Amino acid sequence: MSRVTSIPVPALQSVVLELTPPNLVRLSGTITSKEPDPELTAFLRALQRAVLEDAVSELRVDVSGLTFVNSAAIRVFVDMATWVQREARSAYKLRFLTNRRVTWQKTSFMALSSLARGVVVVDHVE
Amino acid sequence: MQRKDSAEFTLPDRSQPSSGHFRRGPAGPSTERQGGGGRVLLSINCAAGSDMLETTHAFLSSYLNNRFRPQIAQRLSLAVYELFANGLNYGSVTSDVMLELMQSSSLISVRVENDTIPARVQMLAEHLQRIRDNAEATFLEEMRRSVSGGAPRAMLGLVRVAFEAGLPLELTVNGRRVSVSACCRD
Amino acid sequence: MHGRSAVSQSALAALPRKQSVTTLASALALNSAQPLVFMRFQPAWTYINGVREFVSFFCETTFGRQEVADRAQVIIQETLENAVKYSDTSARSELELEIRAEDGKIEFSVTSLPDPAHVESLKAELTGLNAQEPEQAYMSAFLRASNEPEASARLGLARIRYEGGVELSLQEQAAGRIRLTAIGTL
Repeated sequence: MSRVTSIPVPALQSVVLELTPPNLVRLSGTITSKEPDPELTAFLRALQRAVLEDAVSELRVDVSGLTFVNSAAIRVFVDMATWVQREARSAYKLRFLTNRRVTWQKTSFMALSSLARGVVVVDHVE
Repeated sequence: MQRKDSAEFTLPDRSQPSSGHFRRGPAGPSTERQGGGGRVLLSINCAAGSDMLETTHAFLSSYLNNRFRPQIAQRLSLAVYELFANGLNYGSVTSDVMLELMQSSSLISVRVENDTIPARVQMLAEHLQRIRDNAEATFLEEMRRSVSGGAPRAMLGLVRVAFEAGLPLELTVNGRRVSVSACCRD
Repeated sequence: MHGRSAVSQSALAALPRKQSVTTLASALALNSAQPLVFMRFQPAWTYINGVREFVSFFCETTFGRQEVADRAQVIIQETLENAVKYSDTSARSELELEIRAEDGKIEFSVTSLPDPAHVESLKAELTGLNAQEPEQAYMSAFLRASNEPEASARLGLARIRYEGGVELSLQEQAAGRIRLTAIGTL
């Protein structure tokens, strides 16, 4: 049985999380909290570990519905990529599904894919 | 567009009998951010006729609720809506509408300034005089007119500020530039 | 509408990359008499979302382009976060936000009263940032964020420059206040 299915999905204030096993998570809304929400980071970390244990080749992260985030939230995605590179030894890819009409998504994920070549892939859904 | 600057912010003198509901004199942006009779807390300049009313009002209401007691915030929120609506609807599209929130030691005021046609200036002056004479009667009359429709259009907004919110209205005219303000004690 | 003489169109490009952040401020500041938006508020995190959303709507309505609104969102969010995080906690520590536009340029500025220890650190961050092209500085900030957990300050400032399409400068004012200014083309 997939480890991903056993991960509880937190109900957060400004961002909605949807998890579709085996390997798709969708974030929509905005993330502008002062520090990265500990529930969000714990959820994403648990998801990343579960994906590793399930030996899935990629984790798809749909951010196309995230209309705005602050730099603290961008750090969350940087940390995801760094974790896959270092802790998971690049065992799987992070495929970010983005909306090219949303400015922060264009610039941030371009930078992230340069930073984490071979781990981060960026697709445009809109 | 060049406007005359008004360096001071004058407030209605309630200790004196009202000698008129409007003054002719310098209207203009309060370019002094602090000093004189008060300081600017917030100002917004936009085009007359623009779609700024609802969003600006929502933001200002939130701002007022965060800054002042509920009784003050609600009254000023109404004044913001009606004065700003007036300026956006009747302001000349060739110049800005300015919305300003100011605070002195004991008074908080909302002011909207815009260019308009001479006929409108006269209509505004007469309307404010009627409000000053008897706000309740003017309110009831405008309510009746708004229900029955027809011309001239009912002018319920400004009388709501005076009657519902209990804020005295002041009109200042400088040529085609009018400034309508409402204030209350903190 | 906003009528004083313009900063030269080539001013931004002509300035040497390693210019100090304070002389950059003097060279680039817009001089329009009246800001489009001015507001004062306490340095509280709870204000930031509302101000950002209002400014985004204001820019979209005023300039008629979503791209300006998107840039404004990033600039406002990150400059206000920076100001709120490092503000003095005393009663006199109010933030002031101004938005000006003149002759094809737009300027956002946030004035605050920071913890004195932060000012030198901020000046150093800006000098380092301005020593690189915006995209290069942005990539460097990402790399640093990956290697250093506390690097979010520079990521925020780098975002303002790159996503916001503006140049940043800092002016020190009286009584320990600082003004962080972001200027870009419309």
